[in-house]
Amino acid sequence: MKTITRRQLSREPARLKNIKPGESVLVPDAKGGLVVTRRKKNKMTAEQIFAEIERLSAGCPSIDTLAFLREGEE
Amino acid sequence: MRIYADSSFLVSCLYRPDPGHRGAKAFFLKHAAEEWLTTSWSQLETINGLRQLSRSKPGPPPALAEALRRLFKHWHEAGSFSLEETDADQAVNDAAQISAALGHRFRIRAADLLHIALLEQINPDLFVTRDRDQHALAAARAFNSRFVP
Repeated sequence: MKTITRRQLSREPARLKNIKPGESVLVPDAKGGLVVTRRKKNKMTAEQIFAEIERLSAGCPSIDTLAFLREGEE
Repeated sequence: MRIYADSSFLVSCLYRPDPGHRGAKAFFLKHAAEEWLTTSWSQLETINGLRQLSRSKPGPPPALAEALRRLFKHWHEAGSFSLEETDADQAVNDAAQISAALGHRFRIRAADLLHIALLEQINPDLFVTRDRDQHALAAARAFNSRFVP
């Protein structure tokens, strides 16, 4: 676990804001300190993502995206 | 393995009714455990491409592009993709050099030049595209490139 002193925290508060999901940072003090944790985000599997894409695109027309987006481009 | 896909591949991945979706999805699922990289440029081109599809007659509703944009963002936060920091000025300079060296031999769109220039910075193990021209250009620059029809 990373440690940030109170002095560092007062000078650079963004260091706590920028912690990653699942990461914890200890800010020590005389009473043992404060642990700041950002909760982990729920991971979505690729299959779940594609299932969501399927659901969102239901009823949409078939488009050859490569041909359509390249049309007239140079 | 670090994989960088261009917008031709990403748009097909995200738009289910695209005839190329099945191939793009199959390729992605085969390599789902790998590290997939995007850049600010590939994100912009992909999201703009999804929005442009609404101009097709018939086309998807504009709300679909926004829903897919949010899903793509979520895919970065909670899935396989990660945004690679790149230097835009450096990319433009590299693109100019690639154009000077290969512009007379290959069919190159200026926007696609940037993808190849970004490859120089992020140096992925594999570049993936659905665009034959892009694939040929990447191969000419000695990048390991995969064309997904």
